Amino acid sequence: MTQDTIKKIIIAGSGLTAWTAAIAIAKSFLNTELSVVVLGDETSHEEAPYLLPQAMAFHRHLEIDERVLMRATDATFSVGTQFEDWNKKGHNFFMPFGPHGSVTEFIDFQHFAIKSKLSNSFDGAYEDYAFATAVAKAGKFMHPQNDPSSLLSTLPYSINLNPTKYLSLLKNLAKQIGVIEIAESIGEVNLEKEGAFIQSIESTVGNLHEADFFVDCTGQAAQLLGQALKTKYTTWSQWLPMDKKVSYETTTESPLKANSKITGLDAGFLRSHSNQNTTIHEISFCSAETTLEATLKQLGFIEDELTSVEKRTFSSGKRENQWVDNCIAFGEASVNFPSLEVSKLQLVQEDVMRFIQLFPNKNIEPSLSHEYNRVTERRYNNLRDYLILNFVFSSRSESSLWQDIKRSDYPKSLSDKMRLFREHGKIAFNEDEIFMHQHWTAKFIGLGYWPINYDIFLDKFNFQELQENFVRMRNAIQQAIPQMPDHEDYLKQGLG
Amino acid sequence: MNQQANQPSEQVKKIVIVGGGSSGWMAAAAMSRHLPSSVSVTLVESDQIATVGVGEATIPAIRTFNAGLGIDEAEFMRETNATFKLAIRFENWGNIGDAYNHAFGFYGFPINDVSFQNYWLKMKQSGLDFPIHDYNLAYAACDQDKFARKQFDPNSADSRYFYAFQFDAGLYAQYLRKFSEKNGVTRIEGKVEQVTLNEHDGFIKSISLESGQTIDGDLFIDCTGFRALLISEALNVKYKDWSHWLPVNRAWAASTKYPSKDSSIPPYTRARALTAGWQWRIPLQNRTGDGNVFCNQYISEDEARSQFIDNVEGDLLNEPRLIKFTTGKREKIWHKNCVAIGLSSGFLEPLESTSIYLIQASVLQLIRNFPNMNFSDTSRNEFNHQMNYRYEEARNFLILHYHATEREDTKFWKYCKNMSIPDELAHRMKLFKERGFVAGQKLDLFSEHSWLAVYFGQGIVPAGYDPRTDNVNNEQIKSFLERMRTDVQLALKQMPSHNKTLESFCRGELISKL
Ligand SMILES: Cc1cc2nc3c(=O)[nH]c(=O)nc-3n(C[C@H](O)[C@H](O)[C@H](O)COP(=O)(O)OP(=O)(O)OC[C@H]3O[C@@H](n4cnc5c(N)ncnc54)[C@H](O)[C@@H]3O)c2cc1C
Repeated sequence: MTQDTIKKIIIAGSGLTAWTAAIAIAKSFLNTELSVVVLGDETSHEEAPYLLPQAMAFHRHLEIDERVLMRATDATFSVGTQFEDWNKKGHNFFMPFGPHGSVTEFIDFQHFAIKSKLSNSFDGAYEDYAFATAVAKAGKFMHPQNDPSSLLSTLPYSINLNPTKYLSLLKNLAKQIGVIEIAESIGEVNLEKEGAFIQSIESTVGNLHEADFFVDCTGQAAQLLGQALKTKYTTWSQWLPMDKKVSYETTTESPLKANSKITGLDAGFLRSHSNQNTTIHEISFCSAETTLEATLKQLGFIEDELTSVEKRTFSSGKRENQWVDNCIAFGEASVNFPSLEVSKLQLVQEDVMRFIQLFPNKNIEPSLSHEYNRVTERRYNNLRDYLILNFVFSSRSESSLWQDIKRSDYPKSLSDKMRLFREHGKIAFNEDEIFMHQHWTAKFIGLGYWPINYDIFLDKFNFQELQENFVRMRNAIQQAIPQMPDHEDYLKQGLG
Repeated sequence: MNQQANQPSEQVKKIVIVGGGSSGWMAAAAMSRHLPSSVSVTLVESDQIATVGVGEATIPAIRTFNAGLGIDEAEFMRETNATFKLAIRFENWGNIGDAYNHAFGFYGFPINDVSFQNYWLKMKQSGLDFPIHDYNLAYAACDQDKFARKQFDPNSADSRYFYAFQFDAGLYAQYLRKFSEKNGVTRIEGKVEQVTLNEHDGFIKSISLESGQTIDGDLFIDCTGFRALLISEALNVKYKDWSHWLPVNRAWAASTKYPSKDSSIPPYTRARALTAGWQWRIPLQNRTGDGNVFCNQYISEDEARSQFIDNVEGDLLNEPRLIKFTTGKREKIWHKNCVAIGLSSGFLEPLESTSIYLIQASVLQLIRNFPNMNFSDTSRNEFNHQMNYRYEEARNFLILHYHATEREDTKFWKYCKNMSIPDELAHRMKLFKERGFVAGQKLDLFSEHSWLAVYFGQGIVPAGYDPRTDNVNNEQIKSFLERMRTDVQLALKQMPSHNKTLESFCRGELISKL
């Protein structure tokens, strides 16, 4: 006797979200009877696919060799994100993927920094104690090494890719492992019962496509989960009011640094990340506060002079549930937010992998969706808090956007986190965080929100010795940099 | 914007611990090991008030605690007459006549990132009938009283298990007392008669002893056991009663002698279900600790006492003592400037030996969220949140044992089988029943394998399994499984007896004098 498994799954959509879901699912069921169909015809909007270090493991899981991936997608390496003109003009800080300093027994590095700062003896900026900061600033890069005694073991990295090339790579690989593409637009969605369980999708050319399970990757429209199954949207726009997005491309300039960049604007921000040939820019702004024209002007551009400009409207928030009956949504059909350090595609990768762990059988065991939804809820809310935090310390007065965010009541989970950090330098522990406590810490400090107390357990250690250690560490960082290859050269050699 | 504190706060300078049982000395040891010398630690205990005198079985997390103190394992075991613990053996739980071990070992190996139980379930549906426990080395070792001291290594078939200890709680407290006093803890013998609160904020200002001595403090740790002298009597923090889920409320406890000096010492604690509760047997090097836990609504104290004596193996070394308790937890474990650790903070019941774990978790969470003289609610809330979470996780795991049963032979079991259970547990049981999936929090409490042991041990058989198992054909799965099973048998053959390992590693003084 064997169980009744799902034989066919339809992934509605045609963009990176759909093909990421398709390839991950197909790969996980390679030698089974499951057939994976991607149904869709829209030339959908592609957000710049900048990724976090976790993405390297995702690609390993798909057995996509890093070099192949880099070469096929014009990719560059990234060790973190540079924030510029953030709280106000001239306020810059770096958010490395890797750690700051090192842990003294069980006491995190920031406590040393806080204690030093309180005695006016903190040398340099917090970011100077992260190897990645120096690597990025000097335009260097090389792969991390295993030797735990080497600084180079502390350099988690990720990649920035060209979306069009990445899409065609994923598509090709997915088709090679049996994913079927049906290039028809989605028309009617037929339900089995009143308001529940999708039975089939009728395409606009009149073909009926049935399946056991459906994946909604139709973007903000959420044609299946939202429109057909009527799953409500919870808005976050009171905290994250940006509602317009514009993207355009420029030619990548030398020297090519191994990081992404986010620049604060009067009523929004600009995010830039480079492939080897093109640099993709994305402006997110609040239309109640400014116009596109004014925003571009601030950046010294005139719209007509830009190539491949794409404009979109969006609203931050999430669907109440991501998985309902026999339908799950990924990407913008499930959650939307202004893209700072994390892209929606990053979330898609992680969400798909969690779904695969809970992949249902034909009877769609109800406990599986319940489990998926409750973990997703925690993850998304933690991420929401992390995103809001970026805007709460601004002293910009050019528009009321930043001030409005500052004045709004943050979610309690965030204000609790802020107070705990302020008073004790600690990060409240939550399960299911995309960003670890060291990222929260770096973000707080990068934003200028220093704690007023350090961990008393640090006093057990000889402070002068600690200071000497960390001076040595900074020196070691400075000494390691000249020995490293330039990021640009490294790309040329590594890929040549 | 939030109100913001702007000035650094004064540091806590004086910690007063009241109570010298396991919890008091565990707190004192950890605080004195890690705190700077600017903070003093004073522990007050009373010779007139005995400790609870039970609490001798642990879970593997205890090793992390001891390692954090820098304690040598062999020395610690010798000093506390400790034995190794690989499991708890449950008898008559799922049904009368059933027996299983909840071993601290892993079941098989995952194949292509899919957990072992899924393949086993699939093969079972197509006729393979080796019990799942055959794939768990620690489980099998218990059946033969074997034990090898290994560091956990998930990659090698002979080291995929953790271990804990069974020890003399009194000796453990004494051992930690020596450790703490060496690290500068001041111990004061005396009975606390009065607790004085500040008028303006209701914080504890000082405690006064029978002798007239008054002791001030910044932070008070209540380790007074069930009395809960500070957190309850002085600060009135209420108790959340969980008896509707965990109905046992009494225990008879005593110790017994081993029949002979060469008696085989099992590397596990025994938990035999009876008519209205269960009986424990915890083997130490020189004696066993025994007790009968019951609910007095279903069996009288006298009946339970005779049941205990009838069931106990070996000669009693002392008269059974009656201990009364109510399962539950303080609504707030940390209130104002008082943190309750140990029985004063709550008690679930001893079935899975979680109390000492909860003590160590409280101590670590207190260190992680240590207050300053500002005593703002931030660190307190975080601490209470983290502890709630652990208490509830332990509670839910315990409820599972009572609820997942076929037994309806007594009123007690009928009640347990049919009672309503917390939503969280209901959801997890459903996930397992529907799909063999173990959901859980990533805590150091009980792993996926612990839940598997109890689910399977109490007779829950999932209806489905992970469909990714279809990637591997049945012949291949069979041969993988067969290899795992024979690897367990091979490793088991090589494993020395528990007695032998004890002999060579840590045989205590006491036994050689017997
Ligand atoms: C039946 C039973 C079985 C158990 N089995 C296990 C087990 O197998 N595993 C496990 O992990 N846990 C077990 N526990 C729990 C375990 O016993 C306790 O968690 C552990 O012993 C800690 O107790 P304690 O230190 O909090 O309290 P106690 O041991 O009761 O210590 C209280 C201390 O407070 C002092 N004190 C009290 N009042 C005053 C006063 N007025 N002035 C001065 N000092 C005072 C006393 O002198 C004493 O030193 C069991 C508990 C019970 C009831």
